[in-house]
Amino acid sequence: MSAEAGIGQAVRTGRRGERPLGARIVYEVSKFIRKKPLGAFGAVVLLVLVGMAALAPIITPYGPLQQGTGPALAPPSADHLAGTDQFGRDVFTRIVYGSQISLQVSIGATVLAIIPATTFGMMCAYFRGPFDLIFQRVVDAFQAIPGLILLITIVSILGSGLYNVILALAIPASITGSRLQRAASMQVTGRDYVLAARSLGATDARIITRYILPNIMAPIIIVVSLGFGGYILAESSLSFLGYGVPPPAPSWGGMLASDGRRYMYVAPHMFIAPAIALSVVVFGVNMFGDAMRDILDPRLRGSG
Amino acid sequence: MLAAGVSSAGGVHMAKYVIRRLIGMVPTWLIIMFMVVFMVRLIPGSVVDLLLQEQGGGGSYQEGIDRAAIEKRLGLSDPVYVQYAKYVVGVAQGDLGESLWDNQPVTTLIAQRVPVTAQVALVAIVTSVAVSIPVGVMSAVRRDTPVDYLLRSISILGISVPGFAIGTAIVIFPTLWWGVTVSFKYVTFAEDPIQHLKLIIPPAVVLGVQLSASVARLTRTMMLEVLQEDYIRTARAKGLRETKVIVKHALKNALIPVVTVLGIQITNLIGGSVISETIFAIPGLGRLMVSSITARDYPVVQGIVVMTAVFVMLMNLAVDVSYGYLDPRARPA
Repeated sequence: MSAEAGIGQAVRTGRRGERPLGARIVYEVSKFIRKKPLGAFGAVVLLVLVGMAALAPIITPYGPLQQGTGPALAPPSADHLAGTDQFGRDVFTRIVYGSQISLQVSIGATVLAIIPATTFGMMCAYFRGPFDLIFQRVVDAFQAIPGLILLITIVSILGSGLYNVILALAIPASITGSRLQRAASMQVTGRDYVLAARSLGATDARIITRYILPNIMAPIIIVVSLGFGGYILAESSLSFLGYGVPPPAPSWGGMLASDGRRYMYVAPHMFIAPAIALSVVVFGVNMFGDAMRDILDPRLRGSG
Repeated sequence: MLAAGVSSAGGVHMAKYVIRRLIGMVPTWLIIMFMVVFMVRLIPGSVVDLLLQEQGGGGSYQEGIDRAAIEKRLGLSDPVYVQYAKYVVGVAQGDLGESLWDNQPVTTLIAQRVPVTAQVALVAIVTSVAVSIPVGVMSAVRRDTPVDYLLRSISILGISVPGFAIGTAIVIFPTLWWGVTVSFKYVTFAEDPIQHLKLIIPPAVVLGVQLSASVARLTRTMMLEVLQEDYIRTARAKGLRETKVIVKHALKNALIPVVTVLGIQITNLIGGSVISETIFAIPGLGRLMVSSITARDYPVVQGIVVMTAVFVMLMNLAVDVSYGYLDPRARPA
């Protein structure tokens, strides 16, 4: 029901064509800033993150792995905005390039998780029966095992490396994430338009892709925007336990968890700088996700 | 509330419901055991390799014979599905097996660690409730004011900073700024109660702060929803004082879903304990788990996962049952 309301609204605003597109975008954006200042802040953080990732070589003169750009473990200065690490690498540069890793982790894991999660969720809701029954027990099982323990085990099996970490983050999420999509699909499958499509002889595949999927877009968007920050945090927790994206890649979690902690007494900037970068981004993403949830579905109760 | 809410017929009804739910959990337990038995064995580098390394015979010529002997002794020579079946039968009889490294029963190992983790978890939950509910209520009552924005920002910040970073900061900055060094030598409560509490409280507070972020947000959402209900308007119309309306009429109803979330968060709490126990060098379940994965101590890993999962599911059941008492509308049919 709620999912539909969101979609209905989107369709309505989409059809309203009295004002030129540009003016309408300006109007919508300024309304978003006025109504959701925290969400707008989050959107800015996201834009900065994407900008940093795309323009990294322009933003900073050093390379992320370039050693001896200055004295080792030097505190922040005009040449090295966030100081240098034990190899004389520029910490600010590593943070800028680290945004590429954060984006790869969060986008990669989100996409890899949401597609199977939505597919499973829709199939369970549509077909019900034994498939749903068994699959829901598997979801129960995944939910009962603490996430971090599951992640460590999966990374141990797959081996380390950026892509394996992404895959490891996506696997449990693709199972447990299906539950919300299932709940949303359940509300849609009983609707008259689904019955009408079926009585017209539409195939199951057509009903699922043409009638159910468009009507559960709102919860999908909410899950995506709220999950984004979670993956960045999870990668950092894995790094802390030695299962994250391996060095020398400038992953924020890795910088924070290994070198940052090792040198924190002599060079606290090595700990503080990535901690701030990571927290601001996750904070911004969460704020943005929150605002999206409020707009798309005020009644959806998230536990996050 | 318990006696008032449920008649004796309702009690029988509830008992049937609980039994039905417990039976319903059996397939999930079988799936969990299946997952964990297979997954730990999929981790490259088997326990036998590690044991052979340990014996120091790096280039032993008897490698083949030793290996077979060790596998046989540890019960690893059977096909995995046989090992799984044996494990399920063992668990059904309350036998979680023995550590592959020192032959201690897994139940003993877990029993030693549970009190430590449970203490940390308990303090964490108390902290989070004490912080999050006032914050959530405040935020809802002062909706869309600077107070609300500030409190919401802080609580979202609480889930945006990695737990290990907060934990590390707690350890580091007192030393850097004030030269205070924290001792991490673990002592039991009986040995030295004050030192024991000093060790338990920091990780518990770190976990509690993280927990309170989501609880505060949910409390806010629920309060906002409840404050729109007719009975709140009625209470106000009767001329009740606002504090009474909020505490007695609104909060009581708003807290129902919050209980569920606390139940769900227990899984996260146990996951988070892996990190906080590592930082603060606390010998709890989380650290045992990580070291057992590293050591490929299959029965210990299996035992912890299975016990945790059983506990989590029973907690969820307890939450569902309490739901019926807290909200008569939600009683299972």
